[in-house]
Amino acid sequence: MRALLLKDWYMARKYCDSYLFIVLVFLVLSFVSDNVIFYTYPCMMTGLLPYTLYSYDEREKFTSYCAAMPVSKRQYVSEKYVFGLIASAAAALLTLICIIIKGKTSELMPMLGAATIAALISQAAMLPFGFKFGVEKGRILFIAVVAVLFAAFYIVMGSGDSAPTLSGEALGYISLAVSALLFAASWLLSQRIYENKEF
Amino acid sequence: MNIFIDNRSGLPIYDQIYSQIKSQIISGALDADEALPSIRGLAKELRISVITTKRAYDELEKEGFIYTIAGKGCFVAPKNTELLREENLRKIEEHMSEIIRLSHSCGLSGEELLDMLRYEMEE
Amino acid sequence: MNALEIRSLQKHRKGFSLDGINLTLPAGCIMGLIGENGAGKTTTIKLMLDMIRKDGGTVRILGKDSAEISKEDIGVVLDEVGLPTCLTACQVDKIMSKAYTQWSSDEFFAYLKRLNVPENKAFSALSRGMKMKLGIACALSHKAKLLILDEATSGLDPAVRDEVIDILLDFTRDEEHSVLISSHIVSDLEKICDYIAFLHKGRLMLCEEKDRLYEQYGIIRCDEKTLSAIEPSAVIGKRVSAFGVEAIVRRDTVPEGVSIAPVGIEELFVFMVKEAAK
Repeated sequence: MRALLLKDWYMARKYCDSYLFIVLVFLVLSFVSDNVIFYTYPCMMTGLLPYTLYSYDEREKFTSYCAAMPVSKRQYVSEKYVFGLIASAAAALLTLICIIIKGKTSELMPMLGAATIAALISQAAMLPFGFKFGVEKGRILFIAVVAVLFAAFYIVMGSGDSAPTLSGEALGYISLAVSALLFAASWLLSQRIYENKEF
Repeated sequence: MNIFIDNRSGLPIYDQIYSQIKSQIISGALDADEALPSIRGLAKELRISVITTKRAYDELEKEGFIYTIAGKGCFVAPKNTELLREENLRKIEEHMSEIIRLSHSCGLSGEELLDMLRYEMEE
Repeated sequence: MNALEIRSLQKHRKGFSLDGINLTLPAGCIMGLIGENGAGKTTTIKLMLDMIRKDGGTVRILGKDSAEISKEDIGVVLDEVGLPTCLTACQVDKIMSKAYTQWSSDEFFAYLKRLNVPENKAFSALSRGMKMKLGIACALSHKAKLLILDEATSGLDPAVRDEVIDILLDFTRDEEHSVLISSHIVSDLEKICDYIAFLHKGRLMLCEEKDRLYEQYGIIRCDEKTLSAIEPSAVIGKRVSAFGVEAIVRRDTVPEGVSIAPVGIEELFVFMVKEAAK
């Protein structure tokens, strides 16, 4: 897996340097301005990385090459998740440092929390689609599913009274736990999907 | 040692190798107990199949021109006068067949042919 | 020990099926798998490497079942190579050294030097020939015992193909090293192969020592009458023109007096395929 991580690192440096640039720009902006939304971007962007890297792998037929290397299908899948985790953690750390420097910890931690959750969930949600249906179809299906979920959510929220309220912090921790669980579940699901894939 | 393969001659390649090595052994260009290139080495140098070179070497060994030491390779067998004699007899027979064929094509009778031979031998 | 043993290999897809392939590659030999595009060469190779699931049959590589063999012992070069295009050769080296326990950077760079592959240019900037050479350098630098090349020489110019052939010949100087190379460019295979296998529409028409093919078959050029004197089962295929007939036949069935010319593997294949199409 170290080999794959290194390869993805090289690829990320090459192809996703625009991402990195945007992240840095936003970090600077978040320093300069008071708009808190910028603090969420670094994490959110890392959520897209594994899927993007997988799309390059598929296009360049590296997935076939990998099947002929001493790398198991499980390892290939796991590496994408691990890479995502590492990238998200790095982005979160960077954001945290900025927050601490800015001094608005209590205000901005929830934003960071939300961003991390979003990063985890987006990876967890997108990757299985990509592995199962291929990158292009996966993306379309994913968007379709998200749209349906949003619609359902909107309908539910709009219809009745709001659900029993939990305190903000508890909600935050629960969401974090749930997203971690979803991440793990997605990891296992992806492994299963990929085992059955043919090249 | 030189070996030249002609891909288009129609002669099986193993036969070409076999003949060339054999004539070099007989002519003395290859000394007794001299090491021959390995089967694989020869195949790779000539850019042909190892099965071909193996076959040539097997033929040579069968006829007693070379011998193999396990783990070391193939070597030229010491000159066997019996083998040489047989080789020369074979060549004589070949020439004789050719002579007879030529004599037929110009209408020479067997008696006339034998006369010519005696004449040549007396010279 | 055989480098490769394939028995009754089957794969069925819509419109194509690989039907009971039997193939043996003894260690230390080079086998050429010849077939037209779509004959099933790539499918056979992918089945061997467990990249696609087989519908039947067994594959044993270097004495072990294909599902258990370690890919460390096999060097593979596929048609599209498959290395990520943004990487340079140096980066590939670093990555492969972590992927293969027996990776040798020295050998890798030596091959690159021998093949004139630039070390610091991105893969995407390389020509197809260069990409292939890089792929071959990768396949050869981790002490693999079996080298599998799928259409590795297609699209390469003759000088590069010659270099590749040289490298393959060097590789098999060691009698534990074997090569399976598939191609539709027969002339490359004809030079260096020990065994030849013909694949046509999913069926293995032939799997034989190359020398035996030359011995068994020959081309005769004669008139129809002479040809009809030969038993039909010994005629592999024929081409009739206004001025006579050209046929590939088994040498031992040709009557006295008819001159037989040596037949090339390519001609043999073409005639066999044409005959099969009738």
